[in-house]
Amino acid sequence: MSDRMGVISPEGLQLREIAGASRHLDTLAGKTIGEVYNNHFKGELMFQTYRRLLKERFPGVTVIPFDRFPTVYVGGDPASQKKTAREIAALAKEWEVDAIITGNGG
Amino acid sequence: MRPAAEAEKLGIPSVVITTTGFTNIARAAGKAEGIAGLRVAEYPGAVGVHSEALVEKNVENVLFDRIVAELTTPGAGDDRIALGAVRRPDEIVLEGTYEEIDDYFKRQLWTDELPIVPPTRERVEAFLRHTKRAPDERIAVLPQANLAAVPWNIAANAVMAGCRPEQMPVVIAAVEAIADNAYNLNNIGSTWGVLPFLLVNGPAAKKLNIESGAQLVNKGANPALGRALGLIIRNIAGYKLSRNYMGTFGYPMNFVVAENEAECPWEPYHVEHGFDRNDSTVTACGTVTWGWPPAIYGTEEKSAAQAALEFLSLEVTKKPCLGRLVERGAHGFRNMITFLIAPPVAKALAGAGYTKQMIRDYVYEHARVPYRELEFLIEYGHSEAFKIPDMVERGLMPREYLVKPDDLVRVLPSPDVINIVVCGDPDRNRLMVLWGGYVSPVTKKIELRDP
Repeated sequence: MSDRMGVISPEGLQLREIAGASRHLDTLAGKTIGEVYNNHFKGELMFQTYRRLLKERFPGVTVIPFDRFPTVYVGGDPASQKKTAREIAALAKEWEVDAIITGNGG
Repeated sequence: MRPAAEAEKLGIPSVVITTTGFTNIARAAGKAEGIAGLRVAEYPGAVGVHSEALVEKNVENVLFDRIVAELTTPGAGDDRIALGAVRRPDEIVLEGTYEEIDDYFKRQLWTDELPIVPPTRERVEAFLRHTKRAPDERIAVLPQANLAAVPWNIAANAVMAGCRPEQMPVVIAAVEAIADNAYNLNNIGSTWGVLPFLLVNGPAAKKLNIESGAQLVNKGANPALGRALGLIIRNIAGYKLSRNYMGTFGYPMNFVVAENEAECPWEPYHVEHGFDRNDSTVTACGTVTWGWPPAIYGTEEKSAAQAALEFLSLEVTKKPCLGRLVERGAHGFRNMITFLIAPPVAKALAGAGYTKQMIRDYVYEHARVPYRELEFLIEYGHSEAFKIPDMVERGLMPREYLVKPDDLVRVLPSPDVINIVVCGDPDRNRLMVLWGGYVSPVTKKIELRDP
């Protein structure tokens, strides 16, 4: 068992660098925040608290509630999940949303 | 997570809310969707058992500041996932003794914690001679890590698992199957502990010593092939325990079954799905269950076939997460049920005139539970806020579910989620029902090659 040998890696090959996330915002004050919800993990309780805190701490903030965006379904067909995600992103762009809070999990 | 990735592509900063410990899986899923360094904010603890007051307190004291930081802090959202170094697939990454190599592979999280067969270039090259594919041909790109599978690294995992070189075409076909978007490999990291497994059909099974009989998952080529699948999921798909492979109680070893086509009284699985009987195929499947295999006893009053049908219907109501199983439509949860039926039971059913489709139809019709049981499971066993009327309104369930508490409701969304495989001890009268959530079966042809 003490003979030396050379081995190759079992890992997959890196394809290329992928895009990083977009630039941060300087503040949430005066911004439009979109909510996207998949009805998981008691998010409906959390979103109502975010709304209160956003308004208390960031003057001029506007919240577009999750019921205005399409619902996200976590365990559905992968193609339909992707389609819904793109629709949500396009709506957010159209409505000039500055940032999105999405959850929970999934 | 997917909406966040798509919004980030349009330049909209987006933060994903998860519970404790799920930052890595969210970022890995984001990477699979094309965005590195997805913004993630963790809620502290297991929210399912927190009261409304505690949820509000945790949001106010912890989560909200994390959300704001993710959206407004320079650097948050930069690429925080180390991209792997570019290397050749045949590059020697380590020279050492067996012990040094085994230890190194464990530290790299390249093993399943069991000792491995070192993937030397010579061993890997022996596998490459058994495929028509070029050694560096891209076979697939596997989520969640979005890394490329090529014959070199596929073979390396098969070597490590203890496979034999001639089994290489089975492993390649398995990679193609799990890579298919319809299989949904990108969602198997769930806390449910989704376990991929393989079904092999056709002449390759016998030729390659893949067992279909008694104790099949433990015999012949099956354990090593199952282990190779598990290693590929770790090393090429990038699922790492406690990072993005989050099964609450972990995972048994991935396993392999072959259909006993000689003892199968019906068309074998691959022929049912459009392949020629002389084709060899691998079907990627999934399960979160294993367990009790009921024995079937016929009497003068009730035939063995009827007893088998009733047992199958009963088992289907016991094993799965019924609240998810009932969903249907494009947004409905993915499910697959696998019936493993020992040959004597299959022959009893066929002898009574039942085809595979008639069995599916029977179980679809008869696998039922009282509405109140389904209601309880959805109310207290789901992370979702939906109740049954919400699910009906959203098209996830039909209106037949709007009934009284003691009325019986179906648990299957369709007969088509049932997959029937004849295998196991040819002298035993048993059957077993497996249920897998999140995944759907995908079948690929095995391309054998004699070197």
